[in-house]
Amino acid sequence: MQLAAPLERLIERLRKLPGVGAKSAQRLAFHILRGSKDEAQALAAAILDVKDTIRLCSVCFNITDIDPCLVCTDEGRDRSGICVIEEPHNLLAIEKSGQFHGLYHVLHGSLSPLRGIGPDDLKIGALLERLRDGSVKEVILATNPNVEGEATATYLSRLLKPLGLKVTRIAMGLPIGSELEYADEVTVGKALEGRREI
Amino acid sequence: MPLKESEAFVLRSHPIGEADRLVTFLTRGAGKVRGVAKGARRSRRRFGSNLELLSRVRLSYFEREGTDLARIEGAELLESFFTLQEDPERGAVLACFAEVADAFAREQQEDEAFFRLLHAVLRAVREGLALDPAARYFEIWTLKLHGVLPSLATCGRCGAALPARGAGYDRREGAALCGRCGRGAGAGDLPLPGAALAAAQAILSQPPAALIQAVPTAAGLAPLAALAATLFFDLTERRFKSYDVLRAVRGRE
Repeated sequence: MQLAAPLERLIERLRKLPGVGAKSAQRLAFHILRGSKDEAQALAAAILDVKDTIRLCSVCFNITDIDPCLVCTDEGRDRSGICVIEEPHNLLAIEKSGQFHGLYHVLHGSLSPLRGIGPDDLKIGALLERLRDGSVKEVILATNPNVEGEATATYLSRLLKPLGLKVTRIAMGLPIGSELEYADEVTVGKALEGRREI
Repeated sequence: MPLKESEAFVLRSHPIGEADRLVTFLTRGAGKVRGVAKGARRSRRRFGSNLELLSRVRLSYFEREGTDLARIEGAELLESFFTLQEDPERGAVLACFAEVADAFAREQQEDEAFFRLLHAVLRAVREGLALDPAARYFEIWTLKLHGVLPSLATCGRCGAALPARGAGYDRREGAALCGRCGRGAGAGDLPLPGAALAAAQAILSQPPAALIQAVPTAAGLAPLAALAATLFFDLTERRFKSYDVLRAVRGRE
């Protein structure tokens, strides 16, 4: 059955969103259609607002609506430590842990030869610039525990260690609640490599 | 559709949808296989690190009617090259292998020799083979196995043995020519000095691990890199991204 052209257009737009297939797009479109005009306007305004106001923090490259971002301007944070992450959403995961109270630096990716992403495509130069004044004592490399994340961490450590900084890597190994027998050999190997005395 | 099984290397893996991965494999028995690993991003229990680049796995999959994409049922880890890739330069060289293998392998076409080549070179790197000879070995043999490597022992026109002092690759003829037959330096032609011909013979006559002890000279390997790059471009009409990143990593370190 042919749908009305505006509805078809909305479904087509929604289908372009990640993780939204044809059926989901149709459901979302009909949900918007059934809702009030105020709700539809609020949704449209929120989308435009994000596009108009959100930008990258000029210090840490986190996404923000004010520059520098709230993390960079928070006087209560420990300014002697910077946690380096791949993407802005990684910051939320680390903040949720409640274990880190320092500053962040978002690389916006990781070294990925197959995708053509090299060192110049990441915010590495800006990180080195931030470390120049000597106030940062420790850099925590919290890139993802995969091939690209590991290579990026190694690459950064080679750049940072000659600056006389303490460079640390987040631990890798077995997730809490998992069982040893189901873990693969690389994960178990990394867990043993990163073991600590108790 | 029956469940299929084959030993395989992971050549590429990227996220699709909310929690899945689209993975490309080079299998021992069925050439290139591309498939969807459902839930591979959300649950580490099912696939763990098994879908990391160049993991050697026992792959089980279903082919599906009406689509080129298989459904990946399992990927049991047989051998991991994860820690080798922690070094950015080595990681970039291994990514070059994966990208070249992805370009040359054909779907549903058995290519066991190519599978064994990749395995042998990866193992040789783990045993200590330096990166440049490893890369040239993989490239030269990739071209040879796919029937596109010109003879580096005899002239492509007159058939005489190429002189020990060297020869030239004629891009228009797609052949290495001796001094008498060569037209000289045409556009895209490449010099193949004697050291390059000797390095090619060393590569073509022994397993990669043998080059750990008897390393070909840099003067011999460099022209072979240029030859491989030219042939790759002429055959695939594209530049491999991994090589650009490798150059960038080497330039910055």
